[in-house]
Amino acid sequence: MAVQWISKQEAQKLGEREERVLLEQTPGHYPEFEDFIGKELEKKGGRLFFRGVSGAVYSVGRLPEGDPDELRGVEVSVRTVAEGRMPSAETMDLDLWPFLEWLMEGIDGEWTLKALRQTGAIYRVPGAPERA
Amino acid sequence: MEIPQHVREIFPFQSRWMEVEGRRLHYLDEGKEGNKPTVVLLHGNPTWSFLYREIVPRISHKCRAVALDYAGFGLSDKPLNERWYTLENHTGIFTEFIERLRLKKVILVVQDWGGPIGVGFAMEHPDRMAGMLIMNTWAWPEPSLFHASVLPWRMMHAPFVGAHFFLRRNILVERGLYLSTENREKLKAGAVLDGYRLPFSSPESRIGMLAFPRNIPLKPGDLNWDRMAKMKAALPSFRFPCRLLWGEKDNVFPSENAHKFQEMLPNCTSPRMIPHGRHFIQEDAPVEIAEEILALVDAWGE
Repeated sequence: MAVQWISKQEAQKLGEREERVLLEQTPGHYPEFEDFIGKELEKKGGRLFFRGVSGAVYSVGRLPEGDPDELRGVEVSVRTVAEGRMPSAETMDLDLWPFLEWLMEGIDGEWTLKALRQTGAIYRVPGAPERA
Repeated sequence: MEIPQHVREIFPFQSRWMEVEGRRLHYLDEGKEGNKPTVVLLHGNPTWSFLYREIVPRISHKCRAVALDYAGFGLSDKPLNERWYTLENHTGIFTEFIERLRLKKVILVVQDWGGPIGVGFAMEHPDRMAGMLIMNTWAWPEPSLFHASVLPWRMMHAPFVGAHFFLRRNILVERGLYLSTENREKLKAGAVLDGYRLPFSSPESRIGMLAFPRNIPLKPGDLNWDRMAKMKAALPSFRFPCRLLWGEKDNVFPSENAHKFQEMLPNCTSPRMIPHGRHFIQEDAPVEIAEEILALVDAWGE
């Protein structure tokens, strides 16, 4: 399933509170990933928003400078209304899968959707096909 | 961190602690030194001293056996910054650990990342070395076919994919151990898998696991290429006795690696091949590993 991008305005209507669910500290480990995500963030003013399969809303952006643990990188956070409940870990894992597929489709080259799906199948990651 | 009773039953050792460079490290220290070298057991990824639970009791009646959990692994402190986890830092902490224990002569037992850490130590401290048992590992910059391939290795730790697979899903413990062990019935038993899971209960506790694959050099200029080239160059200068034991069904480090070590090491036995053994050879051949360690211990001083 393709990732469902939404606007910042729509994301703001759906949630105020953010909680980090994924942190990539070295997006440049393979430079093509850093290049791709950097360009996509730049196009959208530094933050991307998508709706997961479950309906939950996520944002993608760089960690702000001054992190108390001096961490750097790109984070994915789930947005919820102030009193809202977080989706379950399993739900969020399923929601994150289309985001990974989007990365593969954008980066291309040796990083293929087929290789992602096969690797996900071997390690039984939610969202990956059972057999790729 | 409390070790639950059902895990404690198969891991009945006293936990010991040492602070090194501001980090609290956990280790085992069993048996008595006597007039023999101390056996130091080095684990790999995603394991900890628990990996040697079936080997320590088989050797500690004859020698002192020490097993360290690296920073980021087992019950040791786990830095949150992925950039901290370099081969240089792991080797530096291990070296300081050996210094602080005042171990004059050691026999290193290495597998997986224990190889580069142990060989790095031996290269810098040949006077401390009384022997080495080398199992399913590497110590040169050229990557194995497995490490060079996108499917599945490079994909599983690629940016974002690795953060999801390793940190959120804990795939190395939940699936990798199972796939890379022949004795799978043992792994399915609750206490064994729970023992491996125990110290890696949150995404933040698994950062060291993700950093190790990102430390594997693939080409000149990569992190650790030069360091591992120095190791390769140093192997022919190792005069201390070495033994090789190899799981033949390991698809990470194939049998050719064992023969490559044998060709480069001047004082090394022929590899003892374990036909049914996979990558986590400590789970598949603990008796044979103990025999090889004791052969090095017994030969000391002869």
